[in-house]
Amino acid sequence: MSSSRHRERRFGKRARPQARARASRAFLGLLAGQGVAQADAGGGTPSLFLPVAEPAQSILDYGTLLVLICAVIFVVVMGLLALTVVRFRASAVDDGEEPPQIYGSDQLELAWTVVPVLIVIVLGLITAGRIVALQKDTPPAGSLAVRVVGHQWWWELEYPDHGFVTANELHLPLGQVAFLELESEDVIHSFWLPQLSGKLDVIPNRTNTMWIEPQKTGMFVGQCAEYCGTQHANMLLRVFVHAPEDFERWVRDQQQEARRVAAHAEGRALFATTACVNCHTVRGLSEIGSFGPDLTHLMSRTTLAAGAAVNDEARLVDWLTDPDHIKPGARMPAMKLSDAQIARLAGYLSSLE
Amino acid sequence: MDSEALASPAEGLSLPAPTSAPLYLAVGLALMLVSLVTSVLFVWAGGGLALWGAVGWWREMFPEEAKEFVPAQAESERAPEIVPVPGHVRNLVVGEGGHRVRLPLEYHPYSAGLKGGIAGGLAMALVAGVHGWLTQGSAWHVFNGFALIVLPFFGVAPGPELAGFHAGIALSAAVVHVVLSLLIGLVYASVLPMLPGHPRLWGGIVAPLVWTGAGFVSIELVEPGAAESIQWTVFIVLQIVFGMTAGEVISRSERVKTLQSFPLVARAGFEVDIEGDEL
Amino acid sequence: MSASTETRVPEAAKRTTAGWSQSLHDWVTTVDHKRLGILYIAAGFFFLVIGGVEAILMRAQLAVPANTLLEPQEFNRLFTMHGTTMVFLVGMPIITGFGNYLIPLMIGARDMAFPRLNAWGFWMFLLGGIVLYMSYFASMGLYGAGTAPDVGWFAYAPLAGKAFSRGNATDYWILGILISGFGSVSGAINMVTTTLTMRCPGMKMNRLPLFVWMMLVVSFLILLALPVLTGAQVMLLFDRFMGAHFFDTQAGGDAVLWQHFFWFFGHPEVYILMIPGFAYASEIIPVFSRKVIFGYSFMVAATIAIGLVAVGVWAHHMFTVGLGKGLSVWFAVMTMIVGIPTGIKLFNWIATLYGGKILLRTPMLFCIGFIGQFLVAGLSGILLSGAPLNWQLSDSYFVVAHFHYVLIGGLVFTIFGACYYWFPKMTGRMLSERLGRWHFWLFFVGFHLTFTTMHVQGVLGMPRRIYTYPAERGWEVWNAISSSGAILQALGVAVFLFALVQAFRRPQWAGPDPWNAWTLEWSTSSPPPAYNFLTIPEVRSRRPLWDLKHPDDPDWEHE
Repeated sequence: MSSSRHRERRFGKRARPQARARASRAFLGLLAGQGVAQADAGGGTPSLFLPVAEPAQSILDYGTLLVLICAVIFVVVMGLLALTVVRFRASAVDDGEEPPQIYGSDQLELAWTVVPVLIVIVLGLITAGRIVALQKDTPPAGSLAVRVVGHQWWWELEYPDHGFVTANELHLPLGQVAFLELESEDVIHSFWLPQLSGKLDVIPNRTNTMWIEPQKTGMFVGQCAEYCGTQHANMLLRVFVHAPEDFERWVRDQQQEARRVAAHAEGRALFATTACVNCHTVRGLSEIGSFGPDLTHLMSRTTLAAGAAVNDEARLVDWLTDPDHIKPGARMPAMKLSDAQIARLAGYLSSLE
Repeated sequence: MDSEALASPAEGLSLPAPTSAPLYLAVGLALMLVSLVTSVLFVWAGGGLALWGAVGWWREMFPEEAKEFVPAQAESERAPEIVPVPGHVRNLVVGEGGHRVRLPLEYHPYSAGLKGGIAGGLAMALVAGVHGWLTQGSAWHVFNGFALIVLPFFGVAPGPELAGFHAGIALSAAVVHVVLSLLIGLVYASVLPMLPGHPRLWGGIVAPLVWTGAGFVSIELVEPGAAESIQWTVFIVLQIVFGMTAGEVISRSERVKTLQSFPLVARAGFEVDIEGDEL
Repeated sequence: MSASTETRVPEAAKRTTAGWSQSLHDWVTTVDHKRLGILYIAAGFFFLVIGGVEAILMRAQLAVPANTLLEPQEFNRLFTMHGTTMVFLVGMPIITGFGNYLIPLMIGARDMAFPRLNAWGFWMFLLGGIVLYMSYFASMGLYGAGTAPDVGWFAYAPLAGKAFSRGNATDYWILGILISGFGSVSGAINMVTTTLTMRCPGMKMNRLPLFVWMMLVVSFLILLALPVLTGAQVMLLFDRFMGAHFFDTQAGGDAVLWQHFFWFFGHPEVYILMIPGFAYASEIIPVFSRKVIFGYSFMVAATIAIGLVAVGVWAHHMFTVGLGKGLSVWFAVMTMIVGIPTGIKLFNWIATLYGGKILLRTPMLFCIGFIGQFLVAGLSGILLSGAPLNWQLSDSYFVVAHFHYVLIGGLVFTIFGACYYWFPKMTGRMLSERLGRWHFWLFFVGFHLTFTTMHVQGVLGMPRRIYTYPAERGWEVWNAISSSGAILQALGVAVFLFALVQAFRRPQWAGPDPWNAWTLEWSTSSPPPAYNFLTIPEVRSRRPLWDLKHPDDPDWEHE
């Protein structure tokens, strides 16, 4: 398609401002103490200007048009204002005279009413066309179905066609339309991946649908955009766009039941006999828990607690000891286990690849 | 009215008397509502206060409104009479009889704008149709191209299908075309006389070029690639045909003087001789 | 009748002999529209300082990524209280205060139509504010949960429902606003009645100062919008206390219903707050350009048009709930239409400036700043009205930038302008011009540092209402700039407060008409006597004082 060529030319070569960001962070780190446990495993800026999928690309094109129109209006009106103020400033010496009193002009009023009307007509038609074109109510043929369920404060991601559930990290194949059904378990959230698509609210008792057609592989970040309670800020989201064959491999891995490593039998037993199983599912061990994220392939995810921390064994120990330390207010309780128990449990969990 | 009756304004005036009744009522009502989150006792306390306030308020008003006499300010405290400063208003050199003209002094009647819009729109459609018929063998192509903006509603992609007749598209194109033509005609009629230089230059060339450019950018951004399906030279020619026709029709119309440049007597309906003008 | 007048001590006598307790008593029992106006404005500025401190705490938290200055719940309470305070306890009372003070003076009346209702309205507003802030001390409730509310100023269901917001914090939010809402509605009834029935002889509707016209439209909007909020809040109270299920999604209630109710109030509320800003600018700009307002009747028509369109655009706050195509198109186009009458206003203000003799005194500086900033606010509003772009920008910092441009760049700037302009009338003293300039430039630069950069955070994908953000998002620099701007704004306000103190410590007397202005309030002494006008004036044009000052060239010959 000629249009996609355009896009590569226009947006492909822009470098991410990571280096600059890192430098500024080092500087700002001097101003205040850096807090604990932020996931620092990269991610970059989720800028609207770096779209990697439809409909984000189309929205950016439409937005650019709006910005151009507004920029012209801005320059014209601001220019008028500035010129007027400069030119008609009272001179330092007051001549005591009043300027000519001009009451108005029906013609000017008509002109600056009708010109905006024309702009609104054209803009309204374009907008209406875009709204109709960019919303899809039914899944397109050959699309990948994903069910997204918002929880306080994490994302449940179900791939119904493939029969598994994961959390917080969405994996999508390149070039295939993914059709997302958004539902909420508790309050209103909003699913937002700035580089891939606009946001759509995740509302209890409703199913909203959105679509994404990734055009570039890589990892992209987003997060919940509707205030949803204490840890709204740490309800982060990651998307991994894979080449189709890599996606297939990931799907096959996810479809496996949880690994059983003999070395972690004690940890597994501990998991199965404490309250963990009330909330968490580990396929192949216990499938009753649905309140917390599915842990079957926990270690395939890069972050913990919906992006609040990097996912490694040390953080797991921290998290199991006191979730509030990483994510104050998180729904997961501190289980009051002994250090030894926590070590065994963390060992088991970090074997769930 | 009471106040005037009570005392002569020279000595002072009667005004509504200060009262604490509204405060009691407000506190009482607030306490009653807050009882929801505090204690049921507040219902009774608040209710009592509110009742006290309501009765007090009633007594302020009946049998007759409570008034307080406010003596007039001493002469020295009063604002002095306003002193006239005649002859300190600058005049505009233009204008007849009054310097506070509404600008511009003359304008084209709005009907000329509407006529110009219709004429321009018709001329444009005619040229477009003939051109389409000569080059593509179908007059509809250009019409449909014009409706590019509304295409998503009809699920039609820009392309070869556009050659045929599509009732919905033709109708919406016609509606959009007529509305835009009329509005642009109106703007022309009101703005052209105010622009420096020749109106045909602005209306016929500059304005069409500006919105052709705007149109090109819009289409390129909204439907990338679609801009290639439009013959831009034809597009510009069409816009200039519109602009020239509309501008010509409008500038041929009789200019009307704005009423505000007439002296008051004339506006009031008296027949007066106005130098160089006929009413 | 004469009996009641004789029993009371003349007020002027009281004032000379009274100590502070007597003077406090005078203020508490007053029914004088001028005193109530000043009380409203003073209370508004008191809450402005509180809301400002809340904002500064939030900016401190966000100055660097992963900051640990505030707990998440503390931050969530701060933005809830900040939003609620600024809208209901700062914006509303200040606009009501100026309306109260100026409408009778401008239309040549001696008081408002209902002076006692006026007092009641003020006390209801103040008690509403007190109840809201009581939550910090008293809302531990049965469950020991929460202090101040933490549900956001629009308290979306079901987050504000019993299941997710335990304790009584949210109840304090509901009750506080409900109580102050009674005050706003009574004030609006009063302003409408006063304007329609108490105009002095000759003050026809088409001779009303634009200020009064705009406050009239605002009052109608208040009457239309606030009862909807009150109704919705009562429904929420039913949900929370009586087990109703209007918004309780776990029992089949509807979360989106609350949003419709709230924004049906909330969008007109934006115009309720913004049109008074237009009103101040429409009085100040002509006086400091030494010209009559350009296109009076078009200004009035545009105001009414804004009022009408304002009630048909509320769901543009909800483009991301999945409105469906039809509603999205409707609300997008309706929202763009708002741009037409607001554009007319901007052009008329600029046309008023054009050809004038522009005196850049402090009130005028704030108004010119307002025109530019309101233009930007309008244009970012057009961007947000395009539904597809809104799917990206909604609930991001771009929206935060947009509505602060409206409410600070638009409203707060004109409020400061109005303070410098009418303070001499209210107190008889001028505010220092030198301090005024410091105030303007500090606030202007601070404002742009804070809020212009927020547009950038928004397009870089930063959502609003997050208490922290990870490093490496590319938002750090912008947030640091935003936070530093907040300091300058606070300094600006401090200069203003200092100027107020100075005006009393070293008075610079104003006289009745320091600005050589044209509306009736400048024909009486400063401060005006309790009765405003000893003899009720009679007017023949929109600028009665112009007529008196230029008898050879009066307005009524030209209108």
